[in-house]
Amino acid sequence: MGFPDLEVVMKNLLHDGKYADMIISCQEHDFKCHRAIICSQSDFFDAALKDGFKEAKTSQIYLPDDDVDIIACVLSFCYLQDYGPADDSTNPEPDEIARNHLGVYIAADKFLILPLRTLASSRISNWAKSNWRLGCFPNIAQDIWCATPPHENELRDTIVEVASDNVRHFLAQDNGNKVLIENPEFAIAVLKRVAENNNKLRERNNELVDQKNALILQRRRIL
Amino acid sequence: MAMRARQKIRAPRKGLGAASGADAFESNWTNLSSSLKRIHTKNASELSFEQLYRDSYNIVRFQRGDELYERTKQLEKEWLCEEVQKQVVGGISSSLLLAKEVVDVQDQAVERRAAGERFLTVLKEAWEDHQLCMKMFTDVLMYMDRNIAQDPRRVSIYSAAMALFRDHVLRAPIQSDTTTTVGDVLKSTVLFMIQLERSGHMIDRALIRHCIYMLEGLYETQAEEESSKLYLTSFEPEFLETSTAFYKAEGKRLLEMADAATFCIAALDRITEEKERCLYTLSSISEHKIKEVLDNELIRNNLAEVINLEGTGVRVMLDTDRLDILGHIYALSARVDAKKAHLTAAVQKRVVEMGREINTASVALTQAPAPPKPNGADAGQKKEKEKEKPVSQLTSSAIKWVDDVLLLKQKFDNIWRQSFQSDQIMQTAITASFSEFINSTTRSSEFLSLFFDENLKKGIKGKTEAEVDSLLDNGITLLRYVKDKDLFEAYYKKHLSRRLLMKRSVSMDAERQMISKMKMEVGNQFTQRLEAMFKDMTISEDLTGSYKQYIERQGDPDVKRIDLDINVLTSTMWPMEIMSNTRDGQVELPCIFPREIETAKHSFEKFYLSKHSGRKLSWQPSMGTADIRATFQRSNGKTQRHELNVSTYAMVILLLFNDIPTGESLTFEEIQARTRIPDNDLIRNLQSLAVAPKTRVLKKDPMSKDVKPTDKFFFNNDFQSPFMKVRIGVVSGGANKVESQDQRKETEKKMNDERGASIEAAVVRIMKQRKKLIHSNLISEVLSQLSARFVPDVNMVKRRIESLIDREYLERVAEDPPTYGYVA
Repeated sequence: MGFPDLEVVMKNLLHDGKYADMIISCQEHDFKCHRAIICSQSDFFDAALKDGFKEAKTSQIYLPDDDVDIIACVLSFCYLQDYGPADDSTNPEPDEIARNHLGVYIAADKFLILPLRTLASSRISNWAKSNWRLGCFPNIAQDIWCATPPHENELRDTIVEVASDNVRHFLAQDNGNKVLIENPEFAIAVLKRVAENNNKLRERNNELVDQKNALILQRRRIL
Repeated sequence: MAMRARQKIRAPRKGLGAASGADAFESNWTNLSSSLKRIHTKNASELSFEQLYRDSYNIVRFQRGDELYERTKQLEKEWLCEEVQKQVVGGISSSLLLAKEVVDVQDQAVERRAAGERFLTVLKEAWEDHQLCMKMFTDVLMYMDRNIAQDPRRVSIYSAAMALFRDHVLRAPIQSDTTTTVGDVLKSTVLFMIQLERSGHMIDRALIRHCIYMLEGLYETQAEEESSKLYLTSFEPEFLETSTAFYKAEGKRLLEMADAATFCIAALDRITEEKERCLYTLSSISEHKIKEVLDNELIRNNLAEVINLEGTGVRVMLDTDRLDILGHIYALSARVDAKKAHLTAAVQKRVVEMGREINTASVALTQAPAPPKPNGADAGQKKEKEKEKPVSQLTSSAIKWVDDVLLLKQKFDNIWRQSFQSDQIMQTAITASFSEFINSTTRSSEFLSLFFDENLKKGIKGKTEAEVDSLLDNGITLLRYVKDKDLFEAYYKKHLSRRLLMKRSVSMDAERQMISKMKMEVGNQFTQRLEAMFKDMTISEDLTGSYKQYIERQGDPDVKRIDLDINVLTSTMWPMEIMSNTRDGQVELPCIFPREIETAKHSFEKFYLSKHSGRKLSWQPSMGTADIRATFQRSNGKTQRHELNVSTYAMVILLLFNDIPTGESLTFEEIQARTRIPDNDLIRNLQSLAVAPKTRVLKKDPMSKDVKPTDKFFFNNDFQSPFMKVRIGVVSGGANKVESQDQRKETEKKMNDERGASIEAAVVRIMKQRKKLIHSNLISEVLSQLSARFVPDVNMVKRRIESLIDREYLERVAEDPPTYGYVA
């Protein structure tokens, strides 16, 4: 950014709640926020504070169904274009990190903050690609499979890709088998991809055999 | 933001699959639908947006978004059918349906209008409520819309709800047993209102505008293309149709009832009115279409008739300088026709008519019969005056012609600038018409030259430089129109030579200014010969000076020596009639000068030829003047002296009487024999010396106006004049005047000879360069080369080509197409 001081300004706005003109309430916690920042990035909050409904009168939005830590991440993103892991844990468990990203992803989707959804999605993908050996991976994979909205396929594709590329490891674990049994659609998606991979390998093999035969023929002719 | 103690992050709830959602869907929908209904009844301010959003969000997450979409549509359809439709149909009163076309029945109109406004108000409110509610629906169902957006078969819930309004409100029949719909009533009501406004009533524009907004916001198709707006499909066509009919009738009515000016004002008012209507009452989409209707029906179809209306049309507007109305007519013409054909035709026609009137008037003046000879004893003096009159009248009529043409030009310039917005096409047309009538009279060149002559001789006296400048500019403007520039040049040269030789110019500065203006306008070539004339004059001045010095050096003590003032003219540069020694094809013997003059002449010739050997000087006494001192011996013994300024010929005549004893006479024939002055000049000079009342230096016997060969002339010792210096002009000789019929014929003949020479020169020039050329190309090149000077007659060009072939300058080298070759 060509305006380095702005980060400080935004941080102060986020933490002090000065000049706030709206309140987001979640699990008995009130976040004092700024319409200019929140409503301009989220169609949900924008619509909520428009004329007509209760929220418009009170300038307060209750989110009874959401997690306060996730909301904190969402707000952090709105002000600072980034969100960190839950802050006071110095060494969070890998599955907690994954669940945090997933929670942010779902919230971004619900509140219609697309850049945040993209960011969370890529973080989940990265996490999956480097953490598939972990024992918690099958469970996380299941959570991702179930939590992604029906219109969003990218994240599901990633998780299926990671699971199927390492399918032997996945199947070697008890919870891996359990997840496949409980989520037949996920199992089929993994199977489809394994079959595709298999097919690709076979085609590649045939190509190599053909090349080998051709080379042998060539050598015979030379001899 | 103080962070509270971190809880363990909850895993997202499992099992959001479709199977588990049935109950959740119903409960979410029950909650949602009742809230949506509260939105309909404007009772939403206690509802939590988050709650509604969450309900719809959850439904979509349960993969039941499609169902939510359909159920919402159904809910909206029911609301529209059961509530809104009834309300709107209820707003239609019977008077709206009865009177379909009747506007003229006043009572009915008032009633219908009130009913219309009621209906439109109801409809407008229903529409605005619908829009507002649907915006809130859209916000609540935003998450659903995001999903629906990925399905190409579905449109947003907002668009779907708009289509529902179209189908279930606008297209609802107003009664179950009729096909007339709410939309039909809306259309007829709006058209009725417009009709009211067109006939001068006030209507509620804003109300109609709101209903039109509705038609602009609704579409025929789901895709909502611009062209499928209901406004375009179900309102505008009929609006344009009724407008067409209205303006057809309006045009007819205005033509029948009003004059052209009223028509223009009414038409322009209508144009503004319709434009305003599109802006404030209907839609700007229609602006250019209704403009088309107006242009076609009201203007294009009637404009020709308006322009040519007897008694009030363009002709009268031009005559009475109605600049404002002409401006209107121009504006209307410019709308429908880039060439403004009708207007230009009318203006051109009038310009030519007025121009021809000026031509006719001047011809009438110049050809006016001499006034009847007065009877009675005192006829003598009067007769003299009236003899002069026709001539000066002719000249002044020429000047009047120029002044009139200039006035006309000024008038049309003014109209062009103020009414025609300095339009290029109009200017070209007006210029063409001026050119047409100016060139339709053969005398324009002569008249124009006389105008300059008159002004350079007298007119500019006492005028400021700027005034002189603009006077000359005016004349130059007219010169621009004259096609036969060579003819003008001939006249100008003739007039200029008289001004120069007789020193009649008021200001040489003005003369030079004139030349430079002509140079700018017509070109270098044109003024070359004129400039040469000026040069001759300057050289002659120097020559006269050095001749005087030469004489002084010779030390000739002769006191009676003659002061010689010489103008040596280059023969090819000056007008032919001045230079020529021939008349009617016969060489005339030179005039016999008196001894003293002959001596001076020889002395000068000797001086001149010593400087320029090989040149031939030929003397032109007809153009000279002389100052002589005459002594009159009164019968009482006293003597009276006068200084006479006379023409050279008159001097020659008077000097004869020095050798004649007092009381003796010379006859005309004797004078002629002694001087060899050409008959014509001699008669005129004798008339001015012996007949003109104030300058009778000679007595004539018998005393009569005409000079007969046997008339006797005596020196008049009783000559009386109040002035010491007497100027004796030559009767109808010296001044530049309108030519007589014969003179003109002669000028034309000379002109034709000169043109023939120019054409031949051009042909030879072109052929020398091109060597070989097709006939038609040759002709067109000749025409274009000469067009700056005159418009050559094609037949003349052909004859000249024939003649050049005969003289073997050219040859025919091919027959088809006819082609000529240059013979070197």
